[in-house]
Amino acid sequence: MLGPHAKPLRFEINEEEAQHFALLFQHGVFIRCTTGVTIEELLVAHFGFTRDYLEKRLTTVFLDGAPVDDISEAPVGDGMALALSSSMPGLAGATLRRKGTLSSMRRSITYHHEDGRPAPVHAGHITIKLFNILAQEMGPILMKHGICIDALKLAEFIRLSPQKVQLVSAMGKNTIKDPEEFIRMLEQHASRKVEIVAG
Amino acid sequence: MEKILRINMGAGESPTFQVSPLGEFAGLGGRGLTSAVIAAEVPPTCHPLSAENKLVIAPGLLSGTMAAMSGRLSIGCKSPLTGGIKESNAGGQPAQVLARLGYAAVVLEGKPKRDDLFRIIINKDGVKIEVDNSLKGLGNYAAVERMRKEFGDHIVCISIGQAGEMRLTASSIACTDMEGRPARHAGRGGPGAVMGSKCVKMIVLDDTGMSTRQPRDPEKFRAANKIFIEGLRKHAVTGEALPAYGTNVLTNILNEAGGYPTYNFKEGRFAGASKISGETMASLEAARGGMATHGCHRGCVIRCSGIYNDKDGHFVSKQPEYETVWSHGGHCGIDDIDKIARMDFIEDDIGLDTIETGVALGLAMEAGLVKYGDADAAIDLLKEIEKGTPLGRIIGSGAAVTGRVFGLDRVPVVKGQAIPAYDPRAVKGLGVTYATSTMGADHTAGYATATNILKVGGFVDPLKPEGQVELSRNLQIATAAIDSTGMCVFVAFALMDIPETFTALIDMLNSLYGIDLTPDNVVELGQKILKIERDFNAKAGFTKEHDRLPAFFKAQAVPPHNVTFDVPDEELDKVFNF
Repeated sequence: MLGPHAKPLRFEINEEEAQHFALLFQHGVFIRCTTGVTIEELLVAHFGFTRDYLEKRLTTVFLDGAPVDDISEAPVGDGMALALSSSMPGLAGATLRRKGTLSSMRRSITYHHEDGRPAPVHAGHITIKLFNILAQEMGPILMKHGICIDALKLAEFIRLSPQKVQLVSAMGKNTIKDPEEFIRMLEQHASRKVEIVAG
Repeated sequence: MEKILRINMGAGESPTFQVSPLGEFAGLGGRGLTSAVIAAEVPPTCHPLSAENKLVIAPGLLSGTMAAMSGRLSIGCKSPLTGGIKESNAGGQPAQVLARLGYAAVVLEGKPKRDDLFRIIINKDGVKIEVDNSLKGLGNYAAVERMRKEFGDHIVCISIGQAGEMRLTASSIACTDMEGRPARHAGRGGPGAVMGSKCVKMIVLDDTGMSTRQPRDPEKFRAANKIFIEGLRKHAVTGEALPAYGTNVLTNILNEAGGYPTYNFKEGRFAGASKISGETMASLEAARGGMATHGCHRGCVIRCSGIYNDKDGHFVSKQPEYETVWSHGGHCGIDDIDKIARMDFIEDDIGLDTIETGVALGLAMEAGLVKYGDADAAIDLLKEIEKGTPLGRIIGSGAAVTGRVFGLDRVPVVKGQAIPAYDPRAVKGLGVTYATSTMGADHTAGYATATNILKVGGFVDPLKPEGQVELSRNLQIATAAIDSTGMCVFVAFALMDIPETFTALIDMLNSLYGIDLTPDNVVELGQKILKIERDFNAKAGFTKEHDRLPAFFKAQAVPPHNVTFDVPDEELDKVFNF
């Protein structure tokens, strides 16, 4: 989690390059946002997604690992982890779906609002994970608001994704031509967070 | 597809065969047919590797037609792993080709008295059964390659590797895919050992000169198939998630849900999950010149498979399935997707069920034989299986044997079959199916299919806490019926969510056979199959005490949700109350 005085290294990327960071979201990224509001409010009011989009595409949702059926009732508190996915295969995938016909099969891990802690509304940070198709669809939009990630995680991401390195190498004012140089720089700041903003 | 080919491997000096009408088995296909034949003709108490057992290989009711997704092959026997009835199914080309050759089933019977290895060649001109001892000791890939050199690249093969020859109870039967690779396996329950006990290494199928099966009402069939395909293509699972990422798209999801069994079911999350996820795998496949979207048989429109290459662009394996990635990944604490893909290939070649073998490898790690996370040591253990060393034979005999030999008390099996990649403490409804399935622990025995449309057993309110048992029952009934059609189980999602897709499936069956099947008939078929299987198992010695999960699932809570499996035994005993 980001500390109150953390100063992340900041990089800007071109909007069209954001797509190439989609895979980063499966690891979880930190996002500054209004916390204490429901998942639906957060995604609609803060990030600009439409309710129609959420209804059709956001079919599997986890809050701190608990499957959520009603996103209009589940508040995202400061420090919580929100994971989003489209519809998944398998009996387990169908079971984890929001309001699915098989949802009772996972009732012991289901998110229950009445069991949750009170979540006051204020500015905070949450972890967002985007899986599968949603990482491609929602990731670039979230990146316009800026995402934060551990420097070492970003270094590992670049190292394991050779086809994307060229895109990382051209980043606005902080242009670094050589991906290896970028990785070395990230490793030198191993304890820092990196903020990436799609401009 | 009105005839059965029976091959008596134990007849006199040489095997003999006869072709007969379907007779009492008319109207059945796939799992319905394999289970009916086994129940009618195999003594339930026989030894699975004896001459009394039979291996039934059956395409589905729709196989060999133009119906999309109809290439699933059912293989039935008395299982040497569970001791109960078994239907294990596979994709690949054989179902379509066998059906076009006109066979509703091939039944291997008896057992040779001599130590020869046989191959069977089936084409439009008939059947040849030949001794081919040159195939002895070959892996599936080398054996298939030899057949392709001899008969041409157009042939389709059903084969066993070294594991089947050694009659190991985790052994599979391989089916070739569109590229002629023996990469699609009927793995669960050890059917490869039964084929090995019949001394049949290879079945070569050649449908040259045969045509696609023609429906009684071609127009209606074509229209229904079109609607069916449209349903699959517009559904988020079959039209997007599976084609883009394959079944391994589930790794991140199950991990997030805390239902991803890790370190032999000690934990519900694996720190290395994102390194071996479907998203990561698809990205690597694209970058390395492999393929993230690929069908396992002609007529597949979902195309959930792929080609996994190494960093130099060389073929490593077909895209490993989610359950394979899990059994060698989180279960073993391995987060190296390249090495997991390598193990997938090795097991396809030796002819092993990747779930059973992966779980057994994890148990070897639990026992301290090798360390958790040591992928190279796991590969070495697979080589022990290939060589047939005593240690290799133990691992190749599956999870229950491995756990027993190494004195473990946390052995995730039901009826002797390894529990797959979904923790039943997190998704308890799945635990009900694991416990009560006639097949042993099986994630596909009660698939997420059209129970809501079929109204099997009435409507179950998903928001009520009750219903785990009812849902599992209904899903098992519906799945048994779907397994008879030859349809890939992944059509289930569109059937569940898009009513006209389900109707189209019924219409295809009706227009193909000139019948008037209703959803009620589908339910009746599913119930009939389960009753046949259940009855066989009862006669084989199974009681309600076999319909239980291992005790540790009740006693040991799994983090992060710290839940146990708490469905009462009395509830489990109600699953088959129909």
